[in-house]
Amino acid sequence: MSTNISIMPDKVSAEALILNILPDYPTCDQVCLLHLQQKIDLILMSLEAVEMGSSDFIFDIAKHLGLENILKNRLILWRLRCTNSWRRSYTHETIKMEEAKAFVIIASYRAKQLTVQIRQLLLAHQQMLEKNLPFSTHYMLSDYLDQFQSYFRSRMNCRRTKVDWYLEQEDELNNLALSLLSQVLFSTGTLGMQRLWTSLFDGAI
Amino acid sequence: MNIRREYNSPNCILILDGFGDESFTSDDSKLFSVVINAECHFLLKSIKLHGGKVFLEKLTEIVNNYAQQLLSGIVHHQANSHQEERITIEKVPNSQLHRLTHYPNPTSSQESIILDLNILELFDLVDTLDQFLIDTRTLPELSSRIKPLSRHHRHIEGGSAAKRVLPLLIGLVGLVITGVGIYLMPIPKVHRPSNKSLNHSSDLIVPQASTSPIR
Repeated sequence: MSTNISIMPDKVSAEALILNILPDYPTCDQVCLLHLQQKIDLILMSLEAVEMGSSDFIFDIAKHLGLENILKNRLILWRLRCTNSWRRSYTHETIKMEEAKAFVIIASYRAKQLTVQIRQLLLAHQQMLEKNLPFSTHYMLSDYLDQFQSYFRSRMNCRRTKVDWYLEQEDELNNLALSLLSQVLFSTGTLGMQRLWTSLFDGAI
Repeated sequence: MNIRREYNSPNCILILDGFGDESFTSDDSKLFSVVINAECHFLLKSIKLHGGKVFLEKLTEIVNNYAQQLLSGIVHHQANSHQEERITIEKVPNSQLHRLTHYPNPTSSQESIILDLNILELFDLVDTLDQFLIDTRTLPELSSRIKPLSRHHRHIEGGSAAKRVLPLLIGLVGLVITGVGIYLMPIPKVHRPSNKSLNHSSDLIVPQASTSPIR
């Protein structure tokens, strides 16, 4: 019992210390919150598509950074990601600021680890455009785009007008995937985490 | 004492030459307080942008705003005075390139420099400048200024007042046209049943009241 008491304050203070890397902004309105929730989920989805794998990295990094109190298990992670209004299983819940901060920190941290792959993908995109070749001719780029499309089709609600628009137009869905990848690249920089976090509040304060 | 500081990323190098504070002894800890020349080299393009303090201030501000614009999708207006040297960045239409233009001071003989950067080169420029901005030993007055835009900008982004009022006006005009159209339509004549037809009412089958008890 006494061990628990001595460990908990350390964990809490470490968590607060990490979350304080990002500044607090006055609470944003409903429009801003919907945008924030949607953007965070899409950024994580883009990272999952780069990884070509599961979302296990979220738990690994959360544990590594001492954020496991916020993201305790898969159910909580799923519930929080379903605050994206485009999701099939949209929960109509609102994400807390500390949860949003944890996601941005984890996304930036993972993006930094994947910098080489992200740069390779964006370079391939540039080269395909310059040579006027279809994206499918580059194996890495086509894998990323296929993976992103697959996640988008399986997770998003096609009854939403915007989602349906993306599903109808493959080029636009590819553009969304590449635009998110560029944003992930910017979050790998020296001030990338702060840039990504602040951009979520642009036009809302 | 002259000091040189360098910040680099895969595609971009920023070199600052200037003077430091004499009170510090070690080279690394010296405070770089006065910039004489700032050069920004783009390695793949073999081109450099250069200038003094005004150039460095403009470059950091414009690049910072443009990076946030790319992340949020909300336009950050680039404040430039026509009297002094100007730097602009804009997306090249129908391409994935970003055009960085440096207009030197109108009084100087230098020509404008135009650079078309791809997303990786642009990111490297942003990152190089961020490395400089977080370095508290170099020009501490130029620190990072990453701030979200106010709600006012989102409303501007939504379009001008005239643009926003247009759908309402179209609706009102449609309503007026429909109203006038209905007003101009002739009033339909009501044919009242004549007495003659009423006399034939006996022809009508009148249901007889039921005598069965209701249970």
